[in-house]
Amino acid sequence: MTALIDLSLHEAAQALRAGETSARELTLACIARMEEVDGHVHAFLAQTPDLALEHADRADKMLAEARKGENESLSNLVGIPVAIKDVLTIRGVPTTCGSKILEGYRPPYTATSVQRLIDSGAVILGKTNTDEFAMGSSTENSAYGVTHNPWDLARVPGGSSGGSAAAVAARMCFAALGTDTGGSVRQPAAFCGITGLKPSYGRVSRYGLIAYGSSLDTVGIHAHSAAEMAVLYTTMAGHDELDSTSMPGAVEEIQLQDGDLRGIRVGVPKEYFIDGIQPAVEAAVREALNVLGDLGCELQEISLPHTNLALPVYYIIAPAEASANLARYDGIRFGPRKNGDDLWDTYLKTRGELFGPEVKRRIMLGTYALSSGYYDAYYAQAQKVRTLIKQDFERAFERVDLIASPVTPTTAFPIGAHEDDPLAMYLEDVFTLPANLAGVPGLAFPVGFDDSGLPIGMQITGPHLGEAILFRVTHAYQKATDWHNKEALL
Amino acid sequence: MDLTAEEVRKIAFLARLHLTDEEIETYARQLSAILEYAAQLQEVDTANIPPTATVLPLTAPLREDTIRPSLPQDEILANASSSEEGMFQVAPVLEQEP
Amino acid sequence: MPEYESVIGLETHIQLNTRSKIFCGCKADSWEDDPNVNICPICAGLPGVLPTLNKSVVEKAVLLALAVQADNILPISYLARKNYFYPDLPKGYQISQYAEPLARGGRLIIPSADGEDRVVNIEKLHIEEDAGKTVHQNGKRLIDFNRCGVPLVEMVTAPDIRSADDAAAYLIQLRRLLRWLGISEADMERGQLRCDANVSIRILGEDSLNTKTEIKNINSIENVRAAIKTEVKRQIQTVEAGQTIEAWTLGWDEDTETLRKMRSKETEADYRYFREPDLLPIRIDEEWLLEIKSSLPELPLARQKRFTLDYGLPDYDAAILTEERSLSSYFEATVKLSAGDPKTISNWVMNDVLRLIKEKKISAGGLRLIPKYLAEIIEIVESGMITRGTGKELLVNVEDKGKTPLELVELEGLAQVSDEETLKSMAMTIVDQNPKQVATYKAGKATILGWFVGQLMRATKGRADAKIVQSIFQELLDNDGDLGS
Repeated sequence: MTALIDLSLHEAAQALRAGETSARELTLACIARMEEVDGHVHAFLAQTPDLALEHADRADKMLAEARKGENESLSNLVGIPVAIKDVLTIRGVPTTCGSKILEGYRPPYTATSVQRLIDSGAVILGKTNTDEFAMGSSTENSAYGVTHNPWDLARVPGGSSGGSAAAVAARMCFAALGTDTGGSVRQPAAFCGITGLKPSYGRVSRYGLIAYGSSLDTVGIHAHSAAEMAVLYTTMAGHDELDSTSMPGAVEEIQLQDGDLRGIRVGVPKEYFIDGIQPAVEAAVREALNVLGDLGCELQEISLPHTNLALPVYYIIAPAEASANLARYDGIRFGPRKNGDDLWDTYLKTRGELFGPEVKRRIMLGTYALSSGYYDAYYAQAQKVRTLIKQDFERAFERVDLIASPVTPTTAFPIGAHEDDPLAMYLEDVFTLPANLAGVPGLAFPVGFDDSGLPIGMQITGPHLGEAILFRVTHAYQKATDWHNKEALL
Repeated sequence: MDLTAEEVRKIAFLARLHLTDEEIETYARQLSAILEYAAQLQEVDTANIPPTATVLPLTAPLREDTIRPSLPQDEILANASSSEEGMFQVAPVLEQEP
Repeated sequence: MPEYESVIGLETHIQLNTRSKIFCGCKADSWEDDPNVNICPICAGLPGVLPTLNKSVVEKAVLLALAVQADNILPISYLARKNYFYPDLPKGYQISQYAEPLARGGRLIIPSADGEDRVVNIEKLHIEEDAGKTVHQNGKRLIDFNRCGVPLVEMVTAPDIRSADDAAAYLIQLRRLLRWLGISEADMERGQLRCDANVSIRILGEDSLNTKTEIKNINSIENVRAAIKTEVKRQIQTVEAGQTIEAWTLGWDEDTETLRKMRSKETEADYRYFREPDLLPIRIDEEWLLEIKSSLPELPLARQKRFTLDYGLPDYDAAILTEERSLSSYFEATVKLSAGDPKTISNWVMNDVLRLIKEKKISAGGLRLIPKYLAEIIEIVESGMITRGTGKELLVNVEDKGKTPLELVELEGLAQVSDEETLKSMAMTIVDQNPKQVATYKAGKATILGWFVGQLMRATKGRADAKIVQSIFQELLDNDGDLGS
């Protein structure tokens, strides 16, 4: 019999419904797994076993009622243990955003996205590690220690949702929520050999997502496959009256079909296949494109001419918004306080000492870009170039149904590789940033391994609110291939 | 594009971040490099291009003017490092102040 | 000394009287409440929260914009973040508007006694959220966030105001208008209307603008007047002494009646405004605008002028009657129900009705003494059924008891004794019974007449017309008790 933690989400759901196992058993198995491996991986910042068992017991009640025939349409999520990135709030549970400035903070409310999972019967195992305030591509910027890639503990899991991805890859949970502002769900998914979704901006409520880049932030999902991810997606997606930027209207149904992708036009952007990509990455991606071709997709080369501007645009807009979003951290209403000589000194000390270097860098970058005299050249200009990038996608989607590309230029890099070079770290995001700037959805999934056995991911990007086609294509690919089933030996 | 230590100090103050002299030097270097890289944006012709403040093709949804329950006072104060008589306490200001 | 001209612009913050706050559902009015009881994660600026815009805030702001005849109500306007650090500002930024405010242009007219109405141009009008309050208590500095998120409209005038008195007049007009529209109680002492004044001077005849100072934290209209007067005087003295005016920010200390130089919150503040990404653009389409427009009432100044034209009222009366909307409606309703002279009605309203509503602390619309009843009372006074004095009492009586005037007249026998024959015969009786007083009158002490009148008034329980009674006695006594036929 397969170990509980090695089951897929659907297998677990089936076992639960059939009474072969209980939510409590499943939860305890995950908790045991966490005890076994998280000492090495350090995916979790806060473990919530009491809360998890409370959820599990409630789930078991729901399952019992279903078996009695009282509740036919039970979500597949009932009793499934998941993890939540530590930038999403859960009432009463410590939320740090990977920062010292929120040490000890317990929010009085729960994020809508998380609440929807809880209401559907999911079990919350704990909060996962993140680069501080989601700023980073490796989880090395966490003030609470780095997370280690389950495939090679000396390497990063990616970031900023590194904890989330590692937890799923190491089978400590069935799925996890992350956030993607510049690639923070897709890139760790690629590095950790799992599947990750960045939804369309506005598709999943941002209420309770502690803000980094307000016009870019999305709540994303990590799981082993698109089919499993779909369960969480359909539970969370949809309008929230608490989020003025959440799209009204019904969510398009996710239809997972097998095999036949005839008629689907896949654009391959030439700007994404540049020098500097690790050869194994390019090879794996091209092979995956062949598979899509075999499944019926029509591949064509396209151009997204402003791709190279995505990085500078992002690193002006995101820090600018962040500089304002992080102004509320002053030690007055929450968080620790570093007392200074007077009120103003307290501000300076609290923020100066409790924010990490990357956060301070971005706050200053953003402050500069918005400041008098520089606003036009930097922020205003970046906003306009962003329009050009968005238009690139709109034009492309007139000719193709989705766009396929690598997720990252390389596989997971060693911990410490970019220590002194923030700009080099920023360059890791080249392929993922554009989707955030355009607000379009992107799905990353495993397509192979390099010679060191490190996972390689590919991403497909769709038009705004076009998640359905992304799920469909990924599912078909995952039916035809086996990469997503490979497990990190831990 | 070279930021001086003075400029970094000014920005740090605007953002209420206390930096050591060493940090000022490091950040001056790093920020200069990033801004240098970002300066390529200025070469792009955006003459008739509108800015994207939001990617959504929508206008503001409007909420009905109804009252909803607030948080109990003790919950709102729960995370404060210093409070008194139902209010948050902050340090005094040394100079004469509005 | 050359003649100087004051150049004053006013920036007012108006607290709207919506039920809930601008970006969350917390109760907006916390005046009577304990600290920090009307807040939620959103207005407390906790991590992860998002604002949602209150429809009523936009409606009331647009109503105001229409009332001041804004030149341009933007079909699309944007909210923006105004970034600065202050302990009572939880997010470290205020959601306000900047480059694209709700409305631009408009004017407020200050009516003046000499007929020379002054026009104050409005530069712009925008919506924003209020911040919390700092309280100094027991030597400690404490913050109450109740006020965070209360909706404000900021209205900025052009530097068109030319005197401290006009500044006060502007605020009085503005307050009247806000209450008239029902969008704010505009009580300065409760912080519902706040005013900062920008003051500069120039030689009369020049049209350039000189350095201005900003006076903040003035909490009453009288203090605005006093503060501006003081500042203008100071600026003139400074210039006369050959020194330059510096762009100071000043605070008015009402106890010492002096101006104090303040350290500005952010010296040369760089607010780094940018469009608020969490809120989408505000759209006011034609349809909505027309809907709001249709709810715009006749405005106070227009009604004031109309009262002088339609009813021939003096300016003084019209101003008082249109001080408050329900009072003016009350007056007009009474006029329409009455065949009487509007001026007469005006007198009754300005004196007796106004006194009544002030005592009862209600609005005219809340009176049981409805316009129909007032009209009746005035009619029966004019017709002589009751005396004016009785009428005044009856007015209060109707309000207290809620019965109609005629019912009360009937019930309490208030009708005036007006039959002259009856009065003459009563007068004769009193004369016959009081020879001593008659003698006093005959001796030349004419003032004793009042005593006779008083006697008869008492006998009729005040229900006689004192003037008629007086003339009856006069005739009687002069004719030596012989009334003839």
